[in-house]
Amino acid sequence: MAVEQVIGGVSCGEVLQHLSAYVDGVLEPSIRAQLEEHLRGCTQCARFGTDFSAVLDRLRREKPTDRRGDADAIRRLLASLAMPK
Amino acid sequence: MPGSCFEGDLSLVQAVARGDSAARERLATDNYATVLRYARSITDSRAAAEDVTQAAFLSAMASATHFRGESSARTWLLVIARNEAARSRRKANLASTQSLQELAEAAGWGSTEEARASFAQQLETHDAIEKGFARLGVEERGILALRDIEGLPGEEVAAVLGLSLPAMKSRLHRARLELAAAIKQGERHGR
Repeated sequence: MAVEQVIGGVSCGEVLQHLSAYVDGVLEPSIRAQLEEHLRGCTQCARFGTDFSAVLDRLRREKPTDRRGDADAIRRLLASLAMPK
Repeated sequence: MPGSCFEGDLSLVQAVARGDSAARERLATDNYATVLRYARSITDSRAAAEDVTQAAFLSAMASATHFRGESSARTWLLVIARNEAARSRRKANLASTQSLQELAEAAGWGSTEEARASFAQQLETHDAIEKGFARLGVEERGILALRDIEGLPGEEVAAVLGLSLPAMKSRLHRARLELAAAIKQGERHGR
């Protein structure tokens, strides 16, 4: 069960809300500073932030939608586009 | 076209509209892989994704005269693919009713150090991401495919999905949490 505490002027819930923006590096500097202070003092949020970031790194690296074998498919598409409708 | 930032794409699509087969082939080859990967993320099989992709390109050819160059050809094609996928699947669209905190708890927020170590270990398995991604709904897979896998700018993802930028960011955040929760769920099921 998550514990809710306020550190660095922001609550754990607020950290959670801003986590994607923080990981993407698009958080407004003042909120970013508060959030970093919170992360330094809150083990629960720091751990979750690390895991959340690791999931995104893996997703971006592994590209689960990427598959081989597109060559035949694109040939079929081009053939269908060339057909008179 | 006043204000068009995509003059190259506009010329290309105008050539397609005139029946230029080289332009048609270039439009298809330049964008096919991206559209197909996105279609895969929002359909349930490779065959369905190919059908959606083909329908999207055919629809794009048919409406090429309406393209005004107000977005890139890629954005235009992705929007058409999204509409084609929506048309081809049942309407059952279930918005998640879990709060952000419930979702985060399902993803491991507030879990014990032991549970966290187990999650980190699960994440290291070779197919954790692939299986977690496959467990998500089409909306979540779609937004993650566009933003995190294809790496499209946030504004372009919002345009493809017909959302405001803040709404897109909020859905993206939830989708990322759902992915983490799905991986954790796989860990519990020993997969």
